[in-house]
Amino acid sequence: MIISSLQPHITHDAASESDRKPIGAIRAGQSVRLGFYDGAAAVLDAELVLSGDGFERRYKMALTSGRWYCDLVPSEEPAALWYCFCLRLEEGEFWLCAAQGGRFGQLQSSRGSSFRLTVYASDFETPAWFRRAVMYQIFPDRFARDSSGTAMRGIEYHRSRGRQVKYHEGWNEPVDWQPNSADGFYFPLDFYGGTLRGIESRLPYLLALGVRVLYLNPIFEACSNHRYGTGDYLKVDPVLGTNEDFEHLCKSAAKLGIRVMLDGVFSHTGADSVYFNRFSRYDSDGAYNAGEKSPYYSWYDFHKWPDEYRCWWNFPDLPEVNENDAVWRDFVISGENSVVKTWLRRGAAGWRLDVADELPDEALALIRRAAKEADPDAVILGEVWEDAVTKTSYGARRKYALGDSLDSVMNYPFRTALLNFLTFRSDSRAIADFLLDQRLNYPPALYFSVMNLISSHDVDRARTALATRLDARSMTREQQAGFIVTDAQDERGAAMQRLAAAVQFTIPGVPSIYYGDETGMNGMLDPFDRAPFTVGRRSLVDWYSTLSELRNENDALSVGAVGFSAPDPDVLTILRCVSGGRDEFGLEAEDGVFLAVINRSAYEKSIVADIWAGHAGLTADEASALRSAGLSRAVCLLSGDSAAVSEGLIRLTLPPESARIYKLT
Amino acid sequence: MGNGMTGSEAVTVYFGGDAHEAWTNDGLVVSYTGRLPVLAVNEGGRERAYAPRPVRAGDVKADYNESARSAELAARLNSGAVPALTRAYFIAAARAARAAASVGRISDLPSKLHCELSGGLDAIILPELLRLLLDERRAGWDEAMGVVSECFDLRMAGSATPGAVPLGAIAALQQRTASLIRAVNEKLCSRLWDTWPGDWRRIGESAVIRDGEVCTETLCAEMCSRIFCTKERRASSLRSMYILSPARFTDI
Repeated sequence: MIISSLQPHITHDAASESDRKPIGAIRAGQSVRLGFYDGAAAVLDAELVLSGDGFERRYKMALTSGRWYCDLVPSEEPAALWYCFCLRLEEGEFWLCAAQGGRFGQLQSSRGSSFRLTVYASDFETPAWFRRAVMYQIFPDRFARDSSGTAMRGIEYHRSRGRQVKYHEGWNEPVDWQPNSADGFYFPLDFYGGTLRGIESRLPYLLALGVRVLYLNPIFEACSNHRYGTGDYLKVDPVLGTNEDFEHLCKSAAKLGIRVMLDGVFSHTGADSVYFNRFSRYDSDGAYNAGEKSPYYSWYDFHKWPDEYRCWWNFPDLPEVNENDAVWRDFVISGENSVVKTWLRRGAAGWRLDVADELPDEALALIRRAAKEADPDAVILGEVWEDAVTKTSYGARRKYALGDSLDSVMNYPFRTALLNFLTFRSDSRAIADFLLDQRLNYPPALYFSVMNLISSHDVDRARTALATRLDARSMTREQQAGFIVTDAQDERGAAMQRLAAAVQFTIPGVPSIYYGDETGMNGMLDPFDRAPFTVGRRSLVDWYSTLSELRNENDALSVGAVGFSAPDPDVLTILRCVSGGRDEFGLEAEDGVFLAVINRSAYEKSIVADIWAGHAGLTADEASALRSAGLSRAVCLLSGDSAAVSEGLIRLTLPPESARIYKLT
Repeated sequence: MGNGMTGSEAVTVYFGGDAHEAWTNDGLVVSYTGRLPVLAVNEGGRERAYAPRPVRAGDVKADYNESARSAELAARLNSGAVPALTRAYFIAAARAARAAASVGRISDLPSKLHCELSGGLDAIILPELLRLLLDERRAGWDEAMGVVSECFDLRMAGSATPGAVPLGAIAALQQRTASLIRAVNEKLCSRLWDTWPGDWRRIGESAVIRDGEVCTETLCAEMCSRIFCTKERRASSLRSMYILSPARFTDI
């Protein structure tokens, strides 16, 4: 039951320093002031109720000038916590609980949802270079061929090992999707022959696109085109090239200021691998073919050797490893020549960890430690599909986002929220709430490093999702194969993708371009989202290049403070600012104030953006700096439009389906 | 004219009493009991109050007391011995009634009655005219609000503190007018909620009714079609209103 008569008078705003100071996540051992305002003077007594996994504590609150508050150190350890307020009124006990996306309080007669409070490791830092980077994700088999014959030699290598691989002679041939195995499933054995040298040959293109870090899907030897069933962790797949080719790629990229990240698939190996060797295609003593005499036997959990073993999601081709096994840890993580360290030494700038949820926290922490030992600037990026702070897996709360293991996560929740907004499944308030929620609840070091993606190898391409507004998961592979995106749909998809990219490039975090998104490629789910790189009907290369350039040239767009607003259901505004010559992490940065404005509607919109008081997520000091900045003019860096800024207010007229990025001076 | 009245045609202004709202097949019907009528006559640009002639002259028991009270109120209105709000209400209600009576179609009203308000007590004409259009001319809400809005501009030159009038004081003068201010406030708050959902503090600071008092400046800003004000005013007390509907604002 909601108490409506008192509701407007007893308030808590988790984004306001008058109720919560500091706003956002806090360091372990840090004090925070939590409180609420009692405009009706109706509260006789109040307690703060703090809870976490397996505990709940109550704190008496004090009253000063109509404001109840409590100072406390919520936790000495990293933790996902929650709080709410228990109030005693004349009418009895009531609760001030979380509503409106978890930001504002709602008075209730029974206990409801609580406000989130994230406590992260006090020494949590992430590489500064990564926070400023623009990422480009490449599915290596499908990006670029080279003329050296590398791929064909690799195909022959696989065939010599008895693998039934297929080579597409034509780059533009459609991807295979039909069932091709004895049990009636599709198995990804078709190769197009993209190579590392091919990628290297495209570095000038990527540089012009503004890219600063490449994320390559797995490159190690494996029998499938996606290579997620690793056959040999220490060897580049011969179809892609050689270990030397990788080192050369890294060196060439480094000369252009581009780094290269790898995809580590450590929760399982391929059954067709050096380590398991189910099909005896390797000379090694694998756990399957050699049993206990195999040096890798302890990696795996055999219920009954050799055929009954634990495997990833019950796929017998992907036997799971025991990440607590000392031999495995030494080989993959901790040893002097471990997989993690070896490839960093060979030039990689970090690891994307496949299915991070399925790696124990302890293993993740060890990977972090090993990587940072090899290269303090190395990045550890986790595949996580949900909120990274509250995520639970296998019955336990995960702590990988709190400073002990991951620097970054794949921000799939962002993709969902953004596509929902741009396909009219939600409105600007919903996405503003979502963006604010991440601002308030992700540790800053992580928040400014999250991989903000709109497409990947595991989801339908953004162009298709925005063009068709379909849930590709509701379609069979056959339906997806036969689906044709009409020209009108593609036109709409391109218009919306421009807006999606504008959001991607103006919020904190690392904007990631999935290869071919910039050229307008369409594609439903796997394998249609992994087609060979081509140019679609409506290329957005210039748009992405411009956005990258703006982001790379203006510190505030990457490492500045951020606030969000939804002045109209169709309009989202994002405010970024740096003041005092320092970014959010105290590092040197150029002062600047930028306002991104996205109008998704098919109509012109007139709005007023409130720079001083309208954007949630800014601290009081940041808002104060904006007030004293003397802003008087806003000029759009994309269109050249300009508008006056008066007393922190900007009146804007936005064309239909438009994105504007204003620089305020 | 009786009672020595000279000048424009007299219109009746009602004070106090109870309003009774009943939904019928024809929509909302409002009836009143216990209201005290006072005649208003515009004499040389100034509204003068008169007691109406008793309907049943000579029937002392029926009308005498009421007439006596009307006469007393009229005398106090004319001498200035009433609160400023009461005087403002009398002038506003007379003006609204006279304008409403002068047109056949209410859509013609803006051409007859177009003036600027200061954001002070003169704001009371807005809900009063709305009441006339809704209850006596049977207009729909959107139509009536549209007409009222077109009739008035808000012009705020200075930086005076916005006026605040207890809603109860308005209800004591005209209960139905207070009800309509509540309705205007609720619709504004709904729009504020749409823009700042859950932000009760901002909604409360931007509402027409705040802690039981009517902010006359906000009432005008919400109900007038055009707002002429300084940039400073626009950026301070009218900030939320400007964000909601910038097209109505003109800088002075």
